Amino acid sequence: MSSTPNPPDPFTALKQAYDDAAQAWGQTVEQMVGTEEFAAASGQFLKRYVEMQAAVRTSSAAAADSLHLTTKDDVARVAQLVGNVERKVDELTDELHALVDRLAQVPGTNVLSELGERLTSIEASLQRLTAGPAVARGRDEAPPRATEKGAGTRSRASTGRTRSPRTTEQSPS
Amino acid sequence: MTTTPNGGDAPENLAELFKLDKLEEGMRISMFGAEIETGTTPKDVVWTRNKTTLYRYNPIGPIAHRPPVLLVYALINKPYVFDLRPESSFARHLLEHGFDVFLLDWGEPGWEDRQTSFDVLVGEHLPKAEERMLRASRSDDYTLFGYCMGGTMAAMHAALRPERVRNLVTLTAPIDFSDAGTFSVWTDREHLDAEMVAAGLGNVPGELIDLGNKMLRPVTNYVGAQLTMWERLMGGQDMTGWLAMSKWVNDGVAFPGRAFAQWIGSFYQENRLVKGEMTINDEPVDLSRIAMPLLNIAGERDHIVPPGMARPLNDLVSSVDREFFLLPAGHVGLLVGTGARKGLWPKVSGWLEARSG
Repeated sequence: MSSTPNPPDPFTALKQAYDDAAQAWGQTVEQMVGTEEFAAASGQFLKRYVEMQAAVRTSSAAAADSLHLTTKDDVARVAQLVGNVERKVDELTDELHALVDRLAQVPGTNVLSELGERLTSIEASLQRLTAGPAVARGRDEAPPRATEKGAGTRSRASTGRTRSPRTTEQSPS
Repeated sequence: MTTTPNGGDAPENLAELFKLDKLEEGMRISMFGAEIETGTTPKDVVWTRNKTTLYRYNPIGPIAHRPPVLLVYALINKPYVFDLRPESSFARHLLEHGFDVFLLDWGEPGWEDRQTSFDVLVGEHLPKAEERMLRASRSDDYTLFGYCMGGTMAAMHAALRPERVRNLVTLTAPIDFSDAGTFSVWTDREHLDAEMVAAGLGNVPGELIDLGNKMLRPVTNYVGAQLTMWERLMGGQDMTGWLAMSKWVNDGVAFPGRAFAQWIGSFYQENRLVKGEMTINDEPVDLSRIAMPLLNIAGERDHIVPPGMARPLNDLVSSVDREFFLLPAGHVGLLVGTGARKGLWPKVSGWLEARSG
């Protein structure tokens, strides 16, 4: 089955024309922009542009100031303060890293885990201590009518009784 | 489509005949710019300082090479050029080859950053990013990869703090500014007062920087790019690559005023780096302190950083293992062009694999 050719695409034609002429055009224009004259002219243009931008900025800042509006400089100052805080946090992080590094270098494996184990043993002792009065209460329980003061007295007495095993437990260490 | 009396295909209506939908799309692109998702490879923020952000790309597979790679881009345009589209992503290529990839993004400066200089960026932010990257990756050393001005910054950092830079890769990095082509003429002190520009504008708008880059080849950049777009669009070709590139090219960021004045003054006008006169926070930048393996890459058709600006780095360093690699490509094409997948990418990953054991 034969097909009629699609209508000519104007962009393909344009691209073809461009490809044919681009090298010559390109070189000519590149030579032109590479001249001292072009550099001088663009330098002058840039100078005027910068002067204009600076004048606009100065006048808009003055207008904002007279209207008691926040200027770009005000926002920049706040941003710098935030940046300073960020830097300090960064420095603290560095110090924390250094501390962690130093701890890791302490001989005797892991200091933190050793501390953790000792804390666990202290916690266990404390639990026994707190459990002691309850046990004692259960053993020497006064009649329910006993006053709080009386109970407290008994409790202290019980605590006194439970001290000795703890002392014994700790002595080997 | 309907069939013509002689058996051919004919457009059903005028809209189809004149491809009005495509004309509308082309007009929209010409007027409002290309819209396409870019920089889609997932990454996490590791560290920030002011506008500078250090990212870590999420690994695609197991990390096979211990030293991470830090990608550093210029202060102009945005660093998603390293990860333009999934099919044209250099970062993804490195991830696929088992590298742990980090990206340093200088961000978009605000008015408060107009005094930010290379002393701050190279002297403070880059070393801090290095430290945070090494901590995050639990590595002792790394590969520093700098592209364009990012390459110049990377070289300066490698000279100032060489201790932890295991490999240095520079891609189209301007080092010797004695002959920068047309830029040398434009930035001549007689025509351009960079201090006046920085003082007057604060930050130099991205559009102005973009204008300067495009005016190097105005016919190609202004006429050729548009015609290529129309040709691809009307011809029904895939527009993805063109759109992504167009978006990136036109997505400039402002140049911090102080850094701009330094870039034009100390580099283009005074060529301090190769003369050994460049200082960062009063510390001399001595390129001969670079002794790590160096891969220095340039593009034959690069008109922004001609190979002559990049090549001298190899003569200034003291690295025994050094290579200058010239690719038949332009400034951006060598990283994301159709040839990059077979040219630059395997060259870099192969070179790094041999030096990342």
